[in-house]
Amino acid sequence: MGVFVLRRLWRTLLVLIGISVVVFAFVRALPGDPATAILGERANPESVARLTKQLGLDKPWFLNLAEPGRLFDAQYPKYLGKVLSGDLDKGQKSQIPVADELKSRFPATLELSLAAMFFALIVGLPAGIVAALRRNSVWDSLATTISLVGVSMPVFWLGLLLSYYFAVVLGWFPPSSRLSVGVDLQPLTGMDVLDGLLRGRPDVSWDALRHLVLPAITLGSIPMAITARITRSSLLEVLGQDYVRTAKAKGLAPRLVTLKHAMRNAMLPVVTVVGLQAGLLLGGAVLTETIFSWPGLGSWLYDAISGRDYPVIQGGVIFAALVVSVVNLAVDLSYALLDPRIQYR
Amino acid sequence: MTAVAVPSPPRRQQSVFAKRFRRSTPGRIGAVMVIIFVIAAVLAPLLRPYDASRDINLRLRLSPPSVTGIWDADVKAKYTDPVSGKFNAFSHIFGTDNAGRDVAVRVWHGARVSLIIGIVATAIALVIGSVLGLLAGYFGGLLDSTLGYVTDVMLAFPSILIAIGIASVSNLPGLYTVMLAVSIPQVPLYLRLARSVVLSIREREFVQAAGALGAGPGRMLFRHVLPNSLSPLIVQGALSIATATIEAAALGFLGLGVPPPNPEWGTMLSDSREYYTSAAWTMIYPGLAILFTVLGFNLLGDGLRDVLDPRSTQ
Repeated sequence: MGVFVLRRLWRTLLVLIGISVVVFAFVRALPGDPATAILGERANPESVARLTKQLGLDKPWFLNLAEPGRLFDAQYPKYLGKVLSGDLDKGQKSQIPVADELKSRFPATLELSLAAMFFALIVGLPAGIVAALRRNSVWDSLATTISLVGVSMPVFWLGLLLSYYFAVVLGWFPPSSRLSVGVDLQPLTGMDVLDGLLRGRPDVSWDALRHLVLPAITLGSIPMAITARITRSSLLEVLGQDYVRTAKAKGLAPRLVTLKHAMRNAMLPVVTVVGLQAGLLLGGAVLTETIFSWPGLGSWLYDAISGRDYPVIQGGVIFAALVVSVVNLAVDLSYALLDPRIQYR
Repeated sequence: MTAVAVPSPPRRQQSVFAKRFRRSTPGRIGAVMVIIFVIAAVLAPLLRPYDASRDINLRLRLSPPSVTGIWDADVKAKYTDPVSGKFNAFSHIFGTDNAGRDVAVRVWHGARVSLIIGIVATAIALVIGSVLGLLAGYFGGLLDSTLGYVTDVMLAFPSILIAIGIASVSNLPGLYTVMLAVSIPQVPLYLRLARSVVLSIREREFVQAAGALGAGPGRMLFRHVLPNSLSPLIVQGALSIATATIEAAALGFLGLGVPPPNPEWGTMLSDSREYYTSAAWTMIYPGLAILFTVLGFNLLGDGLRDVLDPRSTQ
């Protein structure tokens, strides 16, 4: 087990280095010059050159091959050194340190993702279970249809539909942002619903919760559909196994057989698939956050890419990839806890 | 006599597939939806040639679907021709957008753009991915571990971020950029799929027999291994067109899609964000078109899986 964990960690580290190289090269391949972007099109060439030098962008990308004595006097090694010491540069437009902005943006995306996963599980699990237990019934067809439509639904369209119907027509929920205008909250964890409770302001939590509902359903629609689907097929497979028949044959209550014997084994693939949604959620967050003006990682990265903000793209994407890799690692390791039959080598 | 009817084995095999496919409800529904979509896309330029520069009618800006004029007097007044005084309830059945363009025609022609992107993007991903996967699985070693590493790195990014990245770097014309941006994130999927299939087929007796008879690596790969690993790739292909359709529309929605004169569903949705609160039809129909197409290809993929891989229970 120990060797397996070490090998998995080593692999994750290699992937992260690969990601940093790819992102670094990609950012420099973007058309347009960051110094000109900051100073504006009409800046004189001298000040552009000075700023380029000041930002260190005149140096070679990866290795300084022209001067073998100063091989590492290049942009990437410098950046890597800074990242390892926790410094992710400043956003070129905002001049706010990227690390600080990550601290305020990540909780927003985390809150949204957790709420989306909550929605996905609270709808998807029961739907999948009912569909499997009442196979070929109306409930089964209903659950299967919902999950099919859910998988095929474009996230951004669902977001527009929900915000049109529930925010514009019915007015039940606010159409965008995290808190109503004028509501003030000192961040603690950065997750507004939780912070409201921790600060003794349930009214703020309620306000934050109302803002959270529509984006969470939007972002959670695909994971919900996938959860329902995998739960159904996994439970059906387990219910067809001999030991379940034996348990039934020896006269155990059907409910007990389902809950205790079948469910525990059926949950294994479900955990895997739910865990692997982390990457999907981050991708969906780009679209969901754009629709609902949610100030999280997704909308920030999108703005950074369209605004050619090098440090933000670098820091943000590497951080996002780090989160996805860590979650995937956790999913891999959790098998051992859930299924004692699995042996790691 | 020369007329001897010999029942040929391939034909009999095909009929087994056809029979299985006909028994698969999702497959049948999906096939019908995909056929409708393809016919609509192919016939669009023939039945109703589209010229974006002439398709502007400022008198009818943001008008609701013309069918509502049957019971809504205001809408009827708007659609009544000022010269002839006639009212045609089917002139703009999905309403018009902010330039008075007919939403129905644009949705219809959007099918063409979507079909081209879906097929080309999937073909690129399928060819690159499965060739690399075949090579990685067949030869193993350094090539396999290098490709495995690249795959790991690519899969750690959300695919839409890769697509946005490619769309913002590429300087190809818009349509090609979208195809590339949508297909590259799918390459690792095919690579892994082809690799895993090859690993299992490589050890089968008939492949080893071919090797014993002196077949070279090229012949082994493309004559013996590839044809036998096609079915999972075909299933994935149908599902890929669905993904490509959504991703292309997502790029359009983020303003990185096919450039304006082409009617594209994602771009239509993105445009509608400014006025959908008062003109919901500009948002509903392009979205329905995306949902219909994606649902069709997903169902078709499920049906093909039922046919080509009877062991899978999903």
